[in-house]
Amino acid sequence: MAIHDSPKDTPFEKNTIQGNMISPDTGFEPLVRVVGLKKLFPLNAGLFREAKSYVHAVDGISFTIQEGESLGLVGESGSGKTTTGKLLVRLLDPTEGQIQIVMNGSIADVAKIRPAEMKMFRQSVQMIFQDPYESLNPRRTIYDTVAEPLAVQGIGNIAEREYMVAEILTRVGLIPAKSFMFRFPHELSGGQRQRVAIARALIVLPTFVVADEPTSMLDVSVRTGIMHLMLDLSETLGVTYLYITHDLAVARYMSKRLAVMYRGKIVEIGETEEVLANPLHPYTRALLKAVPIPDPTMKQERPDIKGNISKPIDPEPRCRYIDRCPLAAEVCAANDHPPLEEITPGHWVACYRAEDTR
Amino acid sequence: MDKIHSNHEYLLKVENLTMHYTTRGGEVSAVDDVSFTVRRGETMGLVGESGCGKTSVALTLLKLLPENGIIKGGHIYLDGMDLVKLKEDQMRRVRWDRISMIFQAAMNSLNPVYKVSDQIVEALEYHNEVRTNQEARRRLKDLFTLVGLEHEMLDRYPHEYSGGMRQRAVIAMALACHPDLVIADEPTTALDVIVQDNLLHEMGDLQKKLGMSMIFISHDIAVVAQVCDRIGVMYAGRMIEIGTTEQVFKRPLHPYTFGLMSAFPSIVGPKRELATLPGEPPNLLDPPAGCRFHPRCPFATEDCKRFVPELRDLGGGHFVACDHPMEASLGNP
Repeated sequence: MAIHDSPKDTPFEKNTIQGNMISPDTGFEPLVRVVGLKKLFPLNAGLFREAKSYVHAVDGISFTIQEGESLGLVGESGSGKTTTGKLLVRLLDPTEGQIQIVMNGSIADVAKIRPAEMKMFRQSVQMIFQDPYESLNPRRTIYDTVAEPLAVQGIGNIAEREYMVAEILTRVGLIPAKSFMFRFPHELSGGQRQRVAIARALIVLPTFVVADEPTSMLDVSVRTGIMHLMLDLSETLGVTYLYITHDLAVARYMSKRLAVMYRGKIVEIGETEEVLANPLHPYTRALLKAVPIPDPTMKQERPDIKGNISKPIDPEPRCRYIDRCPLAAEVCAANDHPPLEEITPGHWVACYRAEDTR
Repeated sequence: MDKIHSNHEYLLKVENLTMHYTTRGGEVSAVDDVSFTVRRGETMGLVGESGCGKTSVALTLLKLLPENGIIKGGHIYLDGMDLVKLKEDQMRRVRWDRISMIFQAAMNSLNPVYKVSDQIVEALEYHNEVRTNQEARRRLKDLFTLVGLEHEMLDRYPHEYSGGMRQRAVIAMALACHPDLVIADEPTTALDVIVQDNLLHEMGDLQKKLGMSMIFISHDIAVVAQVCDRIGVMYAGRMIEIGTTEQVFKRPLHPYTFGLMSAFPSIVGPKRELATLPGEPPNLLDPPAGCRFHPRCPFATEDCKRFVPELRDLGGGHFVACDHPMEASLGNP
């Protein structure tokens, strides 16, 4: 790995946008642009045995995220949310498709970043994980954990790093910072640990952060604090999130736009409030009806959905939702999975029957 | 406390129950002077955050405590019989036959090396519910039909079940001996919303059909709102508010309950500002004196730091353990 001796200011090659799937440049370049992204996992592959079938974890998704407009990604377990997140931070290599992220004014193609350039990529793009009990090293102090990205990036000397760690700890609400710096994770509560994880991700001042269910392990009274913190930091530090969650109510507060995933496909995407108020995809409608409402006087309609989500193993070329859909018709079986179509401005849905049933 | 327990329509009456865990660090006061009742056929919710003592209450009711869990006092009356006084062999007849439990992690409550059918038959045989294999088989099929599982799943192993199916199997097991009371501890927490919605409705239907009572433990107040007739809110080992679900949701009296409700996001209605509760729940090795919520309470006075507030009825069976209850409801729309 030549990562250590690469000059710090390696310019990224400016990638030209290719293919006809991308709309022409509107002069308003998104922070993140994902085009036809696919990730297939081979099943039963071995050294001398080629895989016969594949799990289509992410099956050709495209979306953009504008700076400052955090995107919420919701769906059931197994829908491909976390795989998408990992692809975006290059913890996984895509099978197909492009991920372009604006870094230092130029566009980087995430799949093509060379090992020598990884360091710079990691300064712009970070990830926050779900479980603060697993994601922090129990043998290292909070200072060690939070300062590590600075050391990797070669930012500051020891004294400056200590100052920066103290500052970010204060920002995430671990006050007084000095008293937290030399503690170990087991001395902190779950909420405090998640604050440490956030501090570690944000200390290098990234522009884009993938947050994978960062509050799902926390109690309600602590969760709101973390949600507020992440929103505040988004404003003050200029961070844009891809906020992955199974909880639609949390997504409502954390994201300006919302994408709904089902079996590796994005089935609906639009402004969060618009999607919640006027869901167009039958799956989104079912999800919304299944979310329990914290009001005993509100009796909801039952969700109109059949069966269970199945693994996307070698899916047939038809709508992925067909077996559970109350609206399924011939057109849904005769054609491949429908493309996303803009029904109202900014509100896209992938459903052949969306227009008929509005 | 005798006001809540004045007549005999209650299946379960818990009075002043106190349970401690002895640890190397000292005594953990996990359940402290907890009283509540469960009527016949009703669903009583227990809500609170992790570590508030919900699961400890459940384990105490069944006397399934680990060795270091000691009941320090109080009574658990099941139809007038005090379970606290029962010996282990007598308790074994109560468990599953009269009170059964649905655990949170369905994968962990099923033995991976036995077929699901064998595990349920074991419970049936222990309680002399069946005499022959054919009879057992018939009961199993009935149970599986009841919880919406295919009969072909009977002779499969737990790993062949999906998360939702496993939870159904665990429910079937809990219902095997027709208990009077089922304690469901976060039965749907690990499941996706659509599976959860399905299961909650089916549990509700089953409960009506079989006429049993249920204690429904959850951290999710939205689930509790949809499922329970009455709820008890726990904080740091104590019961701090009890009322009908509507009473507690429409007019939360305890500042903690109020905070919990205002911190909970919803997908319906206008997007309102979510409140943040300052601080974290206390360490139960050394709980705060007086009201255990006082360090986080915006209305705390000097008295709150010294005196433990009694759980008292503020009308219509709405109980609260707080000396400044109305203040909490002032800001409630």
